[in-house]
Amino acid sequence: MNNIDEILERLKGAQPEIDNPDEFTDLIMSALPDRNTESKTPEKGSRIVKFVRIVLTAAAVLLVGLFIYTNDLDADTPTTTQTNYQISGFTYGDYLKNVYTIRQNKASINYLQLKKLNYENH
Amino acid sequence: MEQLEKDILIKCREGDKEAFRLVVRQYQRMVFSLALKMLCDEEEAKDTVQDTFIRVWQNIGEYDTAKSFVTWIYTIATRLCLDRIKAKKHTAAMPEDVDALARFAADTDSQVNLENSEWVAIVRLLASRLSDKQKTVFTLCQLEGLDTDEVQRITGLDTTQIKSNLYVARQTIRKQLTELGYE
Repeated sequence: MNNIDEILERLKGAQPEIDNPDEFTDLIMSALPDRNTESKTPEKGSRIVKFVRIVLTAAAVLLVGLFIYTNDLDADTPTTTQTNYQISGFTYGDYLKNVYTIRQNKASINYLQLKKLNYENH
Repeated sequence: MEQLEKDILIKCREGDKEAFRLVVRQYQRMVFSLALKMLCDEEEAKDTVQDTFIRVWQNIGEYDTAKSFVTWIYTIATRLCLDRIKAKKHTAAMPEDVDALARFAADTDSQVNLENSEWVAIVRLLASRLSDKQKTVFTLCQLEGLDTDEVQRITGLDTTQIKSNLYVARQTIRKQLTELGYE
């Protein structure tokens, strides 16, 4: 039989055999997982996950509530920040005012007098 | 599907292992045949048969009874075989495979009585130059003798793809056998 079609046709549908079919069936059956015990395990796991999820949600809600509450308290008491630019023993405003006044009065004042005035204010 | 088979499958869904034993006994040779021809390795084929029935057992609740149970098992087995083929290196033909084919060709007995090792040798030689897809279609259509519709449902390929893959597979095998002196 050297015909290729004949070779392929003879092979068609033919099945190889399993040496010990009963033994092989037993082997397969022994490898089967227990469906009942498998279904219980994830259920137990999911209960724990559900509990943790509830606790975490409650904690998150509490934290958000606390955050909003503390922000509202801060808003009721306005914060006023005052910066003191005055240096002790020296009033910058007065000095300039004096210079300005002198210039305004057009007083006949020379450089030495102005310098003296400056020293007096310090 | 026969009523008896339906009853057995209902029992299997309820977790009856003795009912499932009947299913295994009924279909193990069919799955083994496919796996041996696809994988060309007896031990791997047996492992695949085991994996197939474990999958069937685990997912029998999802099986649609309106569809063919055989097709469903074939689908699972084919996918598992393809996973194994992808995982392992390409199996090249051995020199002794040519002798095994010569012995088979010389045998005039109409009944095919091949040892598993001979099956492995012949299929390994025939399919050594085929791609995974061609090998799958060739095994299902030509070696297992399934019709195109069934192969379509198993592989998810359309009719044109099946026919073209089968044509290319046959041509490749024909060329290879011609080189070996067959006509």
